[in-house]
Order: sequence, then structure tokens, then C-alpha cells
Amino acid sequence: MTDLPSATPDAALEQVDSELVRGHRLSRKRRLLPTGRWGDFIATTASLITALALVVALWWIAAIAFNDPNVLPSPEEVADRADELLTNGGDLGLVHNAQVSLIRILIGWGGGVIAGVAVGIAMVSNRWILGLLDPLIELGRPIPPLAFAPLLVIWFGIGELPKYMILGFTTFPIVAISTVAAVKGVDRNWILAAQSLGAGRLYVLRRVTIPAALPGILVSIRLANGLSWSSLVAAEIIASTSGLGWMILQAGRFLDTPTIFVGIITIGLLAFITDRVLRVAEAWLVPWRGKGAS
Amino acid sequence: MGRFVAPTLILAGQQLDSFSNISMSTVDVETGPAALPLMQSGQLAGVADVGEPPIAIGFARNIPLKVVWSGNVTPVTLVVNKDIKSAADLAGKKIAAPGGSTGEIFLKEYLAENNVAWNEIEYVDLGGPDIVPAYSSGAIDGAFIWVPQSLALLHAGGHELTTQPGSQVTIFSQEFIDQHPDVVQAFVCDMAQIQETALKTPNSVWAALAEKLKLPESELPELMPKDTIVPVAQMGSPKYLGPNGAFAQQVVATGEILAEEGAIPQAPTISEVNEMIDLQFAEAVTAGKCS
Amino acid sequence: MNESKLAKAADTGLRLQGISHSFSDGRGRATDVLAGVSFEVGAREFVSLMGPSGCGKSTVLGMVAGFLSPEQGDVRWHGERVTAPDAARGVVFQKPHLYPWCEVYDNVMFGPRALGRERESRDLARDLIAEVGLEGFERHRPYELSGGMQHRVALARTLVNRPELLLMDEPFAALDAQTREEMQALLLEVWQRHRCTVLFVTHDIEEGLLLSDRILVMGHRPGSIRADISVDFERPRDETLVFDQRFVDLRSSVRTLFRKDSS
Ligand SMILES: Nc1ncnc2c1ncn2[C@@H]1O[C@H](COP(=O)(O)OP(=O)(O)OP(=O)(O)O)[C@@H](O)[C@H]1O
Ligand SMILES: [Mg+2]
Repeated sequence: MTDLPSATPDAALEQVDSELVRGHRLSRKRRLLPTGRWGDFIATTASLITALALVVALWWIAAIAFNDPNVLPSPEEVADRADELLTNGGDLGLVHNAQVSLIRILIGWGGGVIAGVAVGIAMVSNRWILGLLDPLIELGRPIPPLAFAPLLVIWFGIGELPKYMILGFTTFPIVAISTVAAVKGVDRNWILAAQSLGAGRLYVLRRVTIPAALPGILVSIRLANGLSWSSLVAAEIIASTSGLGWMILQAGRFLDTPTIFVGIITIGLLAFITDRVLRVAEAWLVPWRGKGAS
Repeated sequence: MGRFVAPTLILAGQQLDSFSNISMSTVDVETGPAALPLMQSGQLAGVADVGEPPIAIGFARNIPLKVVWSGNVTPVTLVVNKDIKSAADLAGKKIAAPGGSTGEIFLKEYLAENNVAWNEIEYVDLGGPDIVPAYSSGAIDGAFIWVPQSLALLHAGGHELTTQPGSQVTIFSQEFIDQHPDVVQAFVCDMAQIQETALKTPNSVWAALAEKLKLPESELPELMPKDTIVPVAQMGSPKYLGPNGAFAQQVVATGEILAEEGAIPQAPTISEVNEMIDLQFAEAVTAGKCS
Repeated sequence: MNESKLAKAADTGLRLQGISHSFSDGRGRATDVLAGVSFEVGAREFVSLMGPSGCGKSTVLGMVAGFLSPEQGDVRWHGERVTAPDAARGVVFQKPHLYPWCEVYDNVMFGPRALGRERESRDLARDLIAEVGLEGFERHRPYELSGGMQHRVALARTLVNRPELLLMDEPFAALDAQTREEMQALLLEVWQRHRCTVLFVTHDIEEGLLLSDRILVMGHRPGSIRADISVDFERPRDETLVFDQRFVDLRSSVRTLFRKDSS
């Protein structure tokens, strides 16, 4: 749809953006913020800071109202605890536990992503594989990974493997299903054009199907990253003595509410940061995404 | 009416439903500490059959609660596989206990007494129900755990390294005691009746336990020789809940271990623990106030 | 009908014989789309295929390209049955369908690379990019180009394979009038130089007359060839041809034919 105005708001914004770049600049007076990459960055950061400030302010008021640190510690108490846990270089320290969790996520999520893309491509390449796996994945997807926990202990013991498996189980289905959808959704004309330009099956797969499906696959990889952070506590329920999820569970046992908050905030931050990193990778890998190309 | 939690309540648990004079609902929690947030938020009136950790944690977190009763002193056993002959063999082995439980505390104490450093073993934090499959599959080499799991481990070929008496006490929140002393008294009266029955006719207890554990009834007295039901008349003695008694001392020891780890800010002193024990309801039983 | 040209076409060019086809809608209902389409296109001939919307022009073109096989009848190119797409039969679609993950140069080089002819095609690729007026845009991405520029890249991408047969499905229909005229002029120019056989689908009578040697007119669905009109204005041609009286006359007679057909 090269010539039509783009339907998605995202793409519409890009169009406005590119018009500005091309020199049809809006009058300076009408622009509140500088435009372009810098402007975007400033705007995002400003809105982020405002939102955070608002949350912290409400939190503070609520903490004063409750007046019970076991129920709701104040931001100050949580900050103190965070400082304490950050300076603790040992096994109870925040840095150590964050590292452990980050590595678990990288392996569990990464494994799920690799398996998901591979299985997804296998599924679209072969009708039998699709027929066999599609219902299995669809059936297994709604089962919370934690439900497998007792089984995982029996099958994979109590080491790191069951944790990777839980994280892998959360990420695999969404990536596999999205890969199938992305590959099936590749504009048929791109493939026909390639074939009539002399490309064989493998060349079409490598040079057309995969790059064309990449934006869709990358979105699912990012979603999977968020999902894997949200199942971290579940993964670290089984036989853990480290990790942010464990830190939260352990703090819960001792009614150490400030540590629970530190754990939750750290998980949120790491999920946010990894998502940003993936967004940058995405922008670099698929710069054409949302550019309305066909 | 408040809600009531019974974590490993086997003895009274199956008979709680037959309480006639008070209405109460029960919730199962895995370990005592898990119930503390619920008590804190006022959703729970009390917890039956908890060990020492919740008392120490409750003290450290300023949760007003009182120990009003002790049901029994249950054996908590370190069961290990054949390769482990003595405490020294524990080094490098995977030993499980529910995190934050009496089992974990006892494990720490046992290792310290035998000069094995905590880091030398590989501690595995597993919930009670997960311990049995983990042991059977060889994922762990042993566990410090109470009944029924300890029995299942012994049955799966494990042997006992040590057994510690684990007090099972009942706690109520101060607020609930103030508001509904009659309910607490009624509950305590019922517990007293159950305990007296069990002491007089232990067979009825074995039968109930055998069914719950799916074991032949004849094996139980042998497997649980150390299980003692607390006689109501002795509850206030130093052996049980008396001032500076066995229970109070163990709470202090537990608190010190937890405080040292940084899990809680400070441990209670023995006199502070004495303050947390309120035997007025138990004394009312011996004074014949239950009708 | 032009008998002599048809005879010449038989072995050297394209020949469609008794093509019938129907599409099923997936619920067991079938629509007949083509009913006995037969025609021939001689070597180096420029033939336009016209007809009402939905009569099956794109379907015919897709069969010649090898994208789909007819249920009945066959398509032969140089006497051989067409069964699959082939670089000898280049296609220019209604939309450019460029690969946004490739720069302009890499889009044009897609065919040569797929065919393992990268080295010997580099110069031709650069020449073609210049010929379609996009010198200096080699390193741009398709989405950085205007619609007309993208169409020109698409044309270069197909021509770089030196196809013997060029299949074009309303390639300029989506363009504005001025860009369309530019593209028509460009196509005429390029074609006069490269001289391949062209099968060109269009809705636009003027475009058909300006570009082609012959016009094939299809009737309503199920489509078949209703008329075969010879357009023998001398070449090279340019846009001024439309003011020629003979052009004007021919245009009105074709129009009449269309109107008769649709009533
Ligand atoms: N894949 C398909 N499945 C079902 N029906 C189809 C399919 N492709 C085309 N048709 C039907 O076949 C008929 C001819 O389609 P075709 O695209 O060849 O027409 P056309 O002459 O190119 O029309 P236009 O000038 O509008 O492009 C139409 O009625 C269309 O609905
Ligand atoms: Mg068409």
C-alpha cells in the first residue's frame, strides 16, 4: 500500500515524521518540542519522569496513610533497603540475585526463542509438522508454567534446568505461533516476484521469507521477554536459593516488605531495560518496519 | 468469625470440622511464616501447629500475637540416604528443608553443632510436598522435615541422622484475643478435649494418621515413637510453654539465627518471648472452666 | 486478425491454447473465470491485454508467468509447456513489491544474485538504474523513494535479467497521470532498446494503443478473447502520437467495441 495513507497510527506518525525530515517543516511556532530523534527522546523521558514522580508521590501519601511498614513501606524505606542490598556484595545482595535472574532469563527466554523460531519455520515448511504441533501448542499454551513445577522437579531435578524450562515454556509458544503467523503472512507477491526473478526455494526462504517475517517474529521475541520476566517468580519457586524471584519469596516469609518492593522494582526495571535493548536491536535489524513498504 | 489456619495439623485438623460450638473456617498453609502476612492483614485470627520461626518473625515485625496453646511436640527428622553415615558426610550433599521453617533452623543448628559450615552443604529450598518426589528421584540426598514427609522418606530407603522435637503451638492475634476471648477459650477447650482423648486412646490417633499417610496402622507407633501429645496439665511447665521453658529458649535460638542472617532485624530475648506466651486460656481448662 | 503475424508466432513466441479455469471459493462453490482463451504473441511483439474488470486478465498473466496452472488447455513458451516461474519470463506487478530490507541496488541485483550471475550483471544493473533515472539512489531504501521512483526500480529489477518475455500487469495504474505518462515514455524508450516480447495488461485504451503492436480484448467473465486489433503506427513512438488523427479514430472504434461488449 505504497500510495495510500498508512492506516496504523504508528505508521501515520512515521509519515508525518518523514515529511518533516523531507523539509515540509511545520511552522516553528506550532511545535512545542524539538522534533526528530532528539525530540522523541526528550518527550519520552519527560513523560516517563512525570509518570514516575506521580507514582512515587501517591505511594508516599498511601504509606503515610497506612502507617505500617509491614503493609506498605514508604519510598524512603524501600530506597534505604535498596541501598543496603546494593552494597551487600554477598549471596543476599541485589547485584548477585539480579545477575542470577538475568542469566536465567537469557538462557530460558533465549532457548524458548530459538526453539520457537525453529519449530515455527518447521511448521510452515511441512504440513505434517504443522498438523501435529499446532494443536499441541495451542492446548499447552494456556497452562500456567508453574503447573509443571512438580513434574519438572521429578524430570529435571532441582538444578538450573527446571528454571530454564519454566521460562522456556512461557516463551516458546508465543514465538512459535507468531513465527507461523509471520511467515504465513508474508506478501505472496514478494515470493512470486522472487521466483520469477529466478530464485529457488532455499533462496526465497533466506532472502525473502525470513526477512519479510522478521518484524513479526521480533515483536513476539520482545513480548516473550516481558512474559519471561513475569514468570520469574514462578521459575524461582522451585528449589532456589538465589535470584530476584527467590529474594521476593524469601522476603515474604520473613515479612520483609521493603525487600519485596526492591525485588519487584528491580524486576520491572530489568524487564523495561531489556525491552529497550530489544527495541534498539529491532530498529537496527528491521529499519523498514512500519514504513508501509510493499 | 475469624479464619483459622492449620499448616501440618494432622491431629486436630481432621477433627476441626467437628467443632460444634464455634464456627470457623480453615485454610491450609505450607509453613507458619506464610500465614503471618494473613494475620497481619487481619484476615486470619490465628494459626495452629506452627513452630518457633513465626514467633520470632512476628516479634521482629511488631505483629501483636500471643502463643496460647501447644498441641504436640512432633519429631522433625533429618532423613538422609545410605551414603551419608554421619554429619561429616553431609558436606557437598544436597539437603532440603522448607525455606524459613523449623526444619531449616534445625538443619542450621545441627550443622553448627557438628562443625559443618552452612556453605559446605548444598541447601535446597523445597516445599514439604516437593521433598518426597525430589528424594525418590535422587535429586536430593536428604531432608530435615516433619511428618508425614519424614516417614515417606524413611520408607523410600532413607535413614535417620537426627531428630529434634518440634513444638506445635497455636497463636492468635492480640486483636482477636481482645475482641473474642470467648471464641479463643472455646477453641482451646476443644483442643484440650481432643488431646485428652488422644492420650487416653492412642489407637484412634494412629487410625486417623494411617489413613492420612496411607501406611499400615501397625507401623505407626514404631515410626513415631517420639511424637508426644502435650498433656494439658503440664503445658505451663518448663518442658513446654512455661517461662524460660524449652519452647521459649528455642524461639530465642531461632530468632538469633534469623537475625544473624539478616532475615529479621533483631531477635527477641527470653523475657520478651515469655511476654508473648499467654496461658490464661490453658489455665482456664485446668481450672475446669470448660463445660 | 492479422494472419501472417499469428503464423510467425507459433514456434518462436508465446502460445495459449484453449485455456479454461475456475476458482473454488473453499466452500465447494466454483466460479468459471476463463472459458477457452487462445492467443499467440510473436517474438519481440508488444501485445496489450484489455477487458473489463474481473474478466481474468491477471489470471491469464499469472498462467504465463507460471504462478498457476490452467485447469484445461496449456500455455507454451517456445513450444514448451509453462509449469513454473522462470527468469526468462520477467514480471512487473501493479505494485512495485520491492524488498524493503534491500537497498535500490540490491533490489535490482536480486535476480542476478539468485541466478549466480552477479559479476557479469553489475554494469547492466548500474546502467539500468541510470536509464530509469535513479542514478545516485543506489544506496537508498525503497521506502525512501516516491511511488513513481519505486515503479522505476521495479522495472529495472525485472529488466536486469534480460527476460525474453516481459509480463506487465497494469504496472502504471496506481500512478498519477503525469508520472504514468513519464513511465510510459520510459517503457517505450527502454523497450525500443532492449526489444523483448511484451504482454501488457491495461485498462487504459490510450495506453494500450500508444505502446502496443496489437490489442487483445477480453469479454466478461468467464473470459475469452473477443477481438484482436492490430495497431501499426510506425515506431519509434512518443506521447505526441495521441494527437494523430489515425490514433484518435482507432481509439474511438476500440471504445465503441468496449461499449458494445459490456452491454
Ligand atoms: N485466487 C483466487 N481465488 C478465487 N477467485 C479468484 C482468485 N483470483 C481471481 N479470482 C477471481 O477470478 C476472476 C478474475 O480475476 P482477475 O484478477 O484475473 O481479473 P482481472 O481481469 O485482472 O481484473 P482487474 O482488471 O480488476 O484486475 C475474478 O472474478 C476474481 O474474483
Ligand atoms: Mg488484474
